[in-house]
Amino acid sequence: MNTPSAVVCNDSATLALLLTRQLEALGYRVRSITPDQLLLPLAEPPDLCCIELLGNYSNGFKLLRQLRRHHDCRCVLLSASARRTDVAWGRAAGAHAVLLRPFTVEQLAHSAVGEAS
Amino acid sequence: MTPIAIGEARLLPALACTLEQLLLQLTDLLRARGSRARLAAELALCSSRLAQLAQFLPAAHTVRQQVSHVDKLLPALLQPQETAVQIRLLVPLWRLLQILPAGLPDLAPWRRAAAARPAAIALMASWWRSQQLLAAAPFSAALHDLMRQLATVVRSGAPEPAAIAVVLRRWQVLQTFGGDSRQLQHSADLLQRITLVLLMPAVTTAADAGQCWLQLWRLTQQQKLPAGDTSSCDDLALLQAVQTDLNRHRCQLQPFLQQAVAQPDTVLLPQPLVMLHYRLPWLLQAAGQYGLARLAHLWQRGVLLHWQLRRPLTPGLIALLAGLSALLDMSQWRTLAAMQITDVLLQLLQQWPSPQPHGVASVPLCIGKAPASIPLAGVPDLLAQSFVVLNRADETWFISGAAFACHAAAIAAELQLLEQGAAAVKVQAVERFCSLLLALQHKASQPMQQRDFPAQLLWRGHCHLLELLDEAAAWQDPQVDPQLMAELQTWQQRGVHEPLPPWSEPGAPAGMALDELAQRLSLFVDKLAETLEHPLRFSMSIAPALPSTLLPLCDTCLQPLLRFLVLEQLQETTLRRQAHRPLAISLHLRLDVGDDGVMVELREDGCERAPDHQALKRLRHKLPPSVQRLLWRTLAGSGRRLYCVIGE
Repeated sequence: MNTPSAVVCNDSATLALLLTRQLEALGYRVRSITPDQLLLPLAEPPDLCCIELLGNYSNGFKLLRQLRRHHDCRCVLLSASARRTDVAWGRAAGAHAVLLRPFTVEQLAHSAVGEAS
Repeated sequence: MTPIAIGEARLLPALACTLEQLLLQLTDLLRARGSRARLAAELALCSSRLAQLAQFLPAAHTVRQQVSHVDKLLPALLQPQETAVQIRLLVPLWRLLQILPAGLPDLAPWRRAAAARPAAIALMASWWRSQQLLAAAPFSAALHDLMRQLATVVRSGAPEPAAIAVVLRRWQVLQTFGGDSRQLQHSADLLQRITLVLLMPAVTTAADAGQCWLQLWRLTQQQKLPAGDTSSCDDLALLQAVQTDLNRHRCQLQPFLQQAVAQPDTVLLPQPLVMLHYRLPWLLQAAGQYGLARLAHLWQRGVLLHWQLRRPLTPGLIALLAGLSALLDMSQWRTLAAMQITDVLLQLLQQWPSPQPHGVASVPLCIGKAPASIPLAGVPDLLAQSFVVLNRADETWFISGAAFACHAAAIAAELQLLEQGAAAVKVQAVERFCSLLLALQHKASQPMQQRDFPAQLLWRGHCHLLELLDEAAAWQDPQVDPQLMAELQTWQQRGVHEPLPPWSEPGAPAGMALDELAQRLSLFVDKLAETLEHPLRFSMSIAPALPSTLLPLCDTCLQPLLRFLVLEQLQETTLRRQAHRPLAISLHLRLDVGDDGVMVELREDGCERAPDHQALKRLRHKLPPSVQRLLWRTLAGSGRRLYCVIGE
């Protein structure tokens, strides 16, 4: 079976590294990209895309819409703000799951494959 | 003059009492609370009273000598100083406390605190305010009392940060007297965790919260606290990433801090910096700095509250922000103590902004067709869940008039809710853009040639609306594209500068005359909106059986009526804003055939007040005599209605 691929879009080096490690532990082949790279179609469409909702100068909702115009992969939004609005609007904007920090690896795994946690 | 002999037993309590007042003033001065000039005057008053009292003591009495030192040093204390200099200046005050006799039991804890902590004076003053706590009671009884206070705060449901700060500050001071230094560190660590459990339950797990309360229970039972979180992380790659992020954070913060220091009390935190603080706690947590992460959580929430209330940061908060920025330097972490973090955390809670006094508890929104009262705080959540159609729409919906007609009603319903919601939470960019889209879509729904249908413009407007909503949902300031806005306005105002067309020749088909009336009235309202520079929405339902001979008369009578209603409502713009209602004025006209002529019903949704007598008198003067039986009705929750009959 092919190793599933994931893309991590986060302009924080720390949060990108932590998420990459968590996804690698779940068996994903992970690439880390910047928000700017997500504005164009990706050369290698991933199976899963994890987007940070509130970046320094990026807006995760907009990036998500952009991504969904080009690719049909599973999208997970990650939010550091713990707001219910993030979940509601994230889902309305097309996210398959919205994870509020703090989350466990199990919750990430459930969101990545689409199971209710 | 020979001093009157007063017994030392009476004199020293009076001295202590005056000293208390002096310390309280000094605390406020050190914390930069209140006017420096006023505090200085009050301090000087206390100091001279101290000196007067000390005059009654023998010249060689050590208390009298120390009072004399305090009096001399006070002017220097009033000047802004480095903390180290201030502490040196406070030495005579401490000595004075030390030498006051043990016969004054209330002063004992002051002396110990003064010896133990650099910020002792501030602590001592807050201690003095709650002097019933310790002096006579044993340590454990005081601790139990504090826990009871904490439980009361928790039971209140929505604990106020300032109230929590008061209780926890007492706890901290109590620990200063009661525990050893190791225990003190653990206690400070527990205090941080409890603050987070109380104020930010969303970022603490249930297990962590349970452990906090268990430790608190142990503390009240006089059991030693277990060691707190360790603050070590030996993952070099991770530490390097954290360092990169923290350095970037500090670089972005620095220009703001420089500006804020230059213009205290006026500078508002910019939105990108508010966003920047969201990730800070998680960065610090990744580096194993749990104490700092807790502080950053609280700090982020405080910053957000200031930004939401549009309040500038106070000098105290700017100083705290500068302090926090310094703590993000990794080289500081080796010497960072839990007490230090707790101190900043409590200062932050004490400066927490109070909620808006004139906040509106709920706002009227129409969900579906039914008007409802929604709590203001719940509006963003409601909006985020409500726009299924707007999010689902694709380009094919806007490709032609026929395609658009299938979805127009559903889109308009969501746009109207959005307009009301945006007005309620005062996101004016979204509200105005929504009003414009509603007007544009209403106009696009009128019969027209396919080549005139603004398919591309509607689609671009829709996409831009979603962008604005994405920005608002991320708490960014939505920025309307001015070029697109101008294009939409130009299309929406097409023909508005042309004169009203003349009536067609007598004998024209009735259908055409009805269309003419509708067209002339729409154009009239558009012209009015353009002249007043105010969004107006106008819809009509006209009975087909209306006699064509009466239509020009209807046109003549309805124009002054519409103008009157719009101008009337315009005067209430401020009231509408205060009631969190949208700016756009919405009018609906219904014309039916009656026994005596044309029956008119004009509905205004946003206003529930009948015009006063004078205004009605003016209106009657402007209306032709053919307008009869003018009647007003106001309906709670559904605006006001005007009825009249137009007949020859």
